[in-house]
Amino acid sequence: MPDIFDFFKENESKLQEQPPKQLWDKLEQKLESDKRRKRRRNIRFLQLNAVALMLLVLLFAAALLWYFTRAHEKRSEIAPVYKTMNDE
Amino acid sequence: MTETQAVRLLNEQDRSAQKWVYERYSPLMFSVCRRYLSRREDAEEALVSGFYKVFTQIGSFGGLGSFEGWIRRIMVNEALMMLRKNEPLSFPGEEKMPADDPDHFSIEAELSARDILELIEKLPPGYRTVFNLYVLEGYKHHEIAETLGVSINTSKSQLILAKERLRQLLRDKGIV
Repeated sequence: MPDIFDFFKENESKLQEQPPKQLWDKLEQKLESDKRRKRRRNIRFLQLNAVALMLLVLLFAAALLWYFTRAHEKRSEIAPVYKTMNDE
Repeated sequence: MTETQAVRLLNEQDRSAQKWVYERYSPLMFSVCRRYLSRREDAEEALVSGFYKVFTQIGSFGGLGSFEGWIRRIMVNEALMMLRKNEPLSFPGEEKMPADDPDHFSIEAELSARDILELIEKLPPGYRTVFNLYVLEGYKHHEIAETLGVSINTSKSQLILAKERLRQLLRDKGIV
């Protein structure tokens, strides 16, 4: 004689039921908004990277400018002394 | 499309593969959710969030076991989460261990899906959850105890009580 649980096990497949059609639309919307969110996050990440890169370039340019200006100033300071020494 | 192809495409977030998987498995998974949750709307919500997890966490499917089994485990977890969210699970009569009488019955009438679901729905949530996990999902008592955070004895007693209640319900309906 079958166990009462066997009866439910055997009949489980009968319980399959088509879910309402709009559930797929709901799921698709959820996946779509997730995709949009990810895209927005990627764009934001790229924008932040671009800003960081620009700042780095500016910093580098400023450092170069400072270096050459200083080198030029040093040369202009040495040159008159050198000239004075030669004159003497 | 084969299942292997579908899984590969799911990894690329391919919408047509997602639809194919949804159409193939949603009737079975909806019935899984329905068995745990008595409110239809809750079952629908669990189904949507379950499939959302299937599609967004496809990377965690190793491809070794059964794909259907993996989806099913996600659905069971979703349904249990929903169940706990709605109300904390109670396990009436968990302290005492009832005697497990052997079955002496035979089903004398053909039961429709509606009748079977109605019988399961009539079980108190604690009985129903243990019954679903043990009988229909094939969990062992120690796995049920771990999943639900109860003792192994509670799991066993809930199952015996569920059997007793189902037997009573079938008798009331004049089916056994």
